[in-house]
Amino acid sequence: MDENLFDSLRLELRRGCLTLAVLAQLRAEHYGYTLRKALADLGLEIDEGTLYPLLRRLETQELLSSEWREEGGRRKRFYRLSADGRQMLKQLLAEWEGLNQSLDRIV
Amino acid sequence: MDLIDRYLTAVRRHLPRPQQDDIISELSDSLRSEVEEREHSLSRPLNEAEQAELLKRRGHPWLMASRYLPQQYLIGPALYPYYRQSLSMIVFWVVLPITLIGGALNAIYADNAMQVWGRVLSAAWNGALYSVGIVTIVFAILERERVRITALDNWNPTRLPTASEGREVPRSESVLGLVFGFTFLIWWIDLIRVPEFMNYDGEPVAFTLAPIWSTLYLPILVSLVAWIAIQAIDLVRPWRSLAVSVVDIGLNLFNVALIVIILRAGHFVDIVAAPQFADRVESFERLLNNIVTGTFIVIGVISAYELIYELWQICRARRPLLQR
Repeated sequence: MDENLFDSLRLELRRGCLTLAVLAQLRAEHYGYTLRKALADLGLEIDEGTLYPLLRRLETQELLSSEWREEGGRRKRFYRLSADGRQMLKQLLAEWEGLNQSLDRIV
Repeated sequence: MDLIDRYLTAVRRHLPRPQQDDIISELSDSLRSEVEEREHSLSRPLNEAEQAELLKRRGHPWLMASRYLPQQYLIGPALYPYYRQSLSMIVFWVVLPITLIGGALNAIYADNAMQVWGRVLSAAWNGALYSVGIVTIVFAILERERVRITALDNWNPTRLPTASEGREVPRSESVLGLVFGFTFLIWWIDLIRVPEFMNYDGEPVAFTLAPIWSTLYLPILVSLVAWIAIQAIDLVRPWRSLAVSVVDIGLNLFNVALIVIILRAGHFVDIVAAPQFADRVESFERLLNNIVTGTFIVIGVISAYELIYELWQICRARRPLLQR
């Protein structure tokens, strides 16, 4: 089997799921490192090079809000779902469930 | 400065200036949090090799920084089909004419065929480089400015051309045909000057064409122009219409007739040299005439084959219509 092709298709499959997972996890406030750990503990590994740019993009799209605070002697940036983000998450989850049900019937 | 600081400094260099501090602070916190956690579980500081391994998993600083850039591609999927189509059009409507016209104009001033080909290839290369470069820059700007092209949004399916019944002529075939056609044409109308005199052992040797060529000058010119026209039509409309196929068959019949006339003449080139070379000149002249005879036999066979092939294609394409 072509490993490169598998990697490319897996990346496509994961891309949308990661956005959904990050939005869902940020219903509670997190800073980058704890968010990454929380996702990993739930079985979704995501590297920094993917997570932080994604957080920035979601914040630019006004789906997240962030603030810098000091904790444990270091400045950390805390993220939380914004009002628009909550609305978007609701819509995306409905879409996800619809897709999931269809896929369950298909595969 | 530890390895993590060095890594962060390297990443910083590749980041957009306004965001550098923000991104580096966040990345620094993430890396140091992980280091602390691992040191806590090992109950000792991480050594350099362990830090290096941790950083290596993050990827090269340049790669890490590039992920923060707002645009991850030069031309995105929405614009790419327009870009690709524009490139094809540029190649066939700009690069090809530049190559052919530029090549023909250059040929006037060229001393030999090699020089002509060199200038044609140079014109093609420059044309391709500038056209592709300009189109790519324009589309990259459109992508950056998030311009959406709507030119093809209001298309009408009922205006699509009806499916052709003719065979499809590959573009490569038409382009090759045009290149060979133009090359032969510029030679035939004497734009490429073949030396009529050469030196052999210090003595001049003159080459003269047999009278058959001046007799057939105009018919051969007509045949060449018709050939180039057919190739150009095939390039623009790859599905051959019945009319073009009929013209092509007519042209091949005409070519076969021309070749028969040429072969019946049997003599194509005369060589005149000093009397002491008479024997050599005679045998060389015979060889040259035999080569021309052989060449025209091959061209005749190709023309006859194309004639039969085109007839067969017409019959094959129209058989289903006849059976309806």
